[in-house]
Amino acid sequence: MRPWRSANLSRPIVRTLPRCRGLAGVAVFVAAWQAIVSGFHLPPYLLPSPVETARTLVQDAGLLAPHLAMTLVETLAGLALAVSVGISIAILMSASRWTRDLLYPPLVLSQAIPLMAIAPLILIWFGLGILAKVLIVAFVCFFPVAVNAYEGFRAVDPAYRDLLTTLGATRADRYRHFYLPAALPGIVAGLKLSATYSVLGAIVGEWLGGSRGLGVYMTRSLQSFRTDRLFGAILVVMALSYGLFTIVDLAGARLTPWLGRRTHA
Amino acid sequence: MIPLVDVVGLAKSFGDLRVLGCVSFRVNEGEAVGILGPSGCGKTTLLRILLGLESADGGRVSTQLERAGYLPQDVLLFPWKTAMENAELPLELQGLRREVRRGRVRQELPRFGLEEFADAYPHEMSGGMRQRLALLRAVLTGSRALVLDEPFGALDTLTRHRLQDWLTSLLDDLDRTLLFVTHDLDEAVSLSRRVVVLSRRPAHVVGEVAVSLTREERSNRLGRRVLLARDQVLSLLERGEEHAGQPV
Repeated sequence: MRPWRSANLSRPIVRTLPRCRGLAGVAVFVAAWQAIVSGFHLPPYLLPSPVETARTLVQDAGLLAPHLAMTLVETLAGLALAVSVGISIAILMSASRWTRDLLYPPLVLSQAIPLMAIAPLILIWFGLGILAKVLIVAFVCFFPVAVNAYEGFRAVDPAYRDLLTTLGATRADRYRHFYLPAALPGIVAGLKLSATYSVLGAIVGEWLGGSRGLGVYMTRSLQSFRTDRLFGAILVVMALSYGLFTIVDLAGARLTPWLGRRTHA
Repeated sequence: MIPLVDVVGLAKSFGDLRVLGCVSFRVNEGEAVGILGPSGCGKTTLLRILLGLESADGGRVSTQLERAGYLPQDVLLFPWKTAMENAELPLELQGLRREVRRGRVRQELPRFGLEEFADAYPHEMSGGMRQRLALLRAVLTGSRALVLDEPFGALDTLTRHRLQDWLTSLLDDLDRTLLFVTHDLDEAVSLSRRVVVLSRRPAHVVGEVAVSLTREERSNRLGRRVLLARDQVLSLLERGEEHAGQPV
């Protein structure tokens, strides 16, 4: 038992309430969806009801699973690459004014390139396999990580750097003990944004070419006018994005215990 | 006596702002010296120059404080490290193995009143505990000298007095040289064997007062000898106000 700990925030009711509100929000959305379909007597090929979509999802679970697995692999690999590249760029930019001036403008300009223009090129350069999709996800996701990490490095109190100098710390020591932990909340914030974009990046890549993935499943559903399958896939994509976001959020809270417990779902 | 710090005619400006005019003093090994001056007179700048974190514009500085145990004004504990991890940092940077450095920290924690808080984060500790932890980190550098910047300035009066008494007895045990800056007259008299008084900016040394008090006399802040030392230092501070900018 640690005498200095206050246990108030770990009470179950405090942790459960935000989740209840979140579920209530989803329930309202689903109810409104069902009401629109029933109220306007919309045919399933135009807008399937939530019940029909759920039924299709269950029926097609076996068909959907390999596509979901492929998208998940591409997304996670792309995210990992984005984090490595983003943090490396941030470290280089924070090393000196010279490297910052050299790297920051191209970094910002890279985000002005439309994804729908660069993605087909990446597919032409790297083929229709998994590599091209991973690179597209990394392209979509590295920017929030790089910018947030760099801003985290920049916002640190220089007095800590002086203290580490008096302790004989090397540059690598300074990054390990100070800059990286200090920038961690920013990196996690960037990663949360990236996690939500990442699935979208993989879907775009698959949509443009490939043999497996939720993007491929969606194009095939659309071409055969199976709107219920398309909606099912959209729900899976949403759940995947939300799941990744939540995992990053929880991992971030575990990695930054000094910031106290957060109240995200 | 071997001088640990020897400063002659030290000057420093930031642009047009002259911070240190002409500062000269010496600190011998084993001494406890307090540098007292009004707020904003350049005390922290002086310490930074002595620690090698800032360069001087003029004068001669000879110090052996580059690897001193330094307690900054804002203590600067790393919020993501526990008390144990903060304390062991100097030993980690010296390349000591984890079990060795943890053993050393555990050995020292009771003396600093932190034995129950090894796993606590700084935000879970009181202001006084954070000061003691930062001081433990400074002590564990193994340096012969401790350099403190306004050591207990941010604390309430009672906690400050308690920590000053605790530090006095700790220093008797540790046998280290102490150099600190403060704007608090009572703190200067309570912790040092010699007080160097600085004038207003641009600072110069107005004079020095030897404080020969026993540990008991120091803890009795209304004792006759303490008040006498206090008066001597105060009169130097007032002289510094009258002759600001020119060496007395």
